[in-house]
Amino acid sequence: MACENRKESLVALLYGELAEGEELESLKAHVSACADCRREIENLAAARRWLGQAEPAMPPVPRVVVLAPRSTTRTWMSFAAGLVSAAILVAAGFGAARTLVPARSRASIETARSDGNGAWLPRADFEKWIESHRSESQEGAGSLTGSAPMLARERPVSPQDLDAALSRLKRRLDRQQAAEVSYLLQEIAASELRSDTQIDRTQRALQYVALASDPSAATH
Amino acid sequence: MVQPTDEDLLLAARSGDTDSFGVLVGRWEGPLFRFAYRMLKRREDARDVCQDTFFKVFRKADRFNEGASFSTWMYQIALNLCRDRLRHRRRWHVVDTSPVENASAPAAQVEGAAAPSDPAAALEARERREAVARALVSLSPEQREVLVLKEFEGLKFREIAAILGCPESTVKSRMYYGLSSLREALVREGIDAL
Repeated sequence: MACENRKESLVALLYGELAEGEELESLKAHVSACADCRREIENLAAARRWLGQAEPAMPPVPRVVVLAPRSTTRTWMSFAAGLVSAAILVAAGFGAARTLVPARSRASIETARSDGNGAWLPRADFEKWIESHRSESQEGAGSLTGSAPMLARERPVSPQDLDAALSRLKRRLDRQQAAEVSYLLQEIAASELRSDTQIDRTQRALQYVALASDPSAATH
Repeated sequence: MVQPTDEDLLLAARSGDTDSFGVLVGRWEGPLFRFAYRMLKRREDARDVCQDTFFKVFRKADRFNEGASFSTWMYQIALNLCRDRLRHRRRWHVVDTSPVENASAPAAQVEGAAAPSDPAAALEARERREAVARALVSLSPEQREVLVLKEFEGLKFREIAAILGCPESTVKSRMYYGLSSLREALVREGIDAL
């Protein structure tokens, strides 16, 4: 065992990290004179040799490929637009067709008012009217006519229209989700690329940071 | 032509020059992976740490102090990620059953190495690697970190101290006791370490 106050210095000496000067000379003189320290530094050097000879087999280094950032603004805007559309269409799907009605008219639905032209209806009556015309649509009754309230001036939302719109929205959201998943998988797979030729050909093009979800990332 | 320093490249990347970041990645992907592999002994974990480190380096580029050392900062991030993995794993994986990652893998599987011509020497080398691997397991995590950073990464004690956030004297002390413990473990294995 080395002298207690010399252990750190012996390690520094072993790795050549003692600067030339008084401390180095003093330590060398001590090691020459002290059998314990001399034996200890030999033991440390031997352990170091074993450590160096026995480094575990290193697998090939995978290439880390960073990808171009996606336009986060476009991604989020289109996603947000999808959500808004979904909200509108889902609300419509629950028979709340008044969401397609101008706000002024929507407020009027809450009040019961009627006149000779049937321009306004109480809410409960309005919803009954919607249901009755939904049934007519399913029977192929065609567009709404006659003494319909304000909705006569709006294009009615038939169940088929609603289903088609929801299907389109779902497909769009699925595509978007698939694209997101694909992107994530691509990011993961990028680090597994092993072909030097392929990497060399594409590395420059791929040397951008893949931080699509990072709001602070610069868009290109 | 003078190559830009790591710090210059990071500062350029922070300003939006992603090509500079690509150069940084190209410089450090190898050393970083090898460091993570020595710490974690699993290729997939090492690859994940490597990728996560670059991810964090870019995301936190604005926090990098000008005048600081990029490599020190990068190693700090990588080391913390390795520690998280080891904590999660709750044990030091030294001998892996995977034929590619086995610490006793034939030398031909070592990157750039030629196949040994002497089977006896190859066997002895393999046994030595296994013995050292087992001895490393017996070390404390702190001693193991210092050994890996010093012996395999070739960092200075001053740099290791900066990475670990402890005094240089502590690093040297851990190195001393780490090497001593390693030798004692090898002697217990019946291997003449001298």
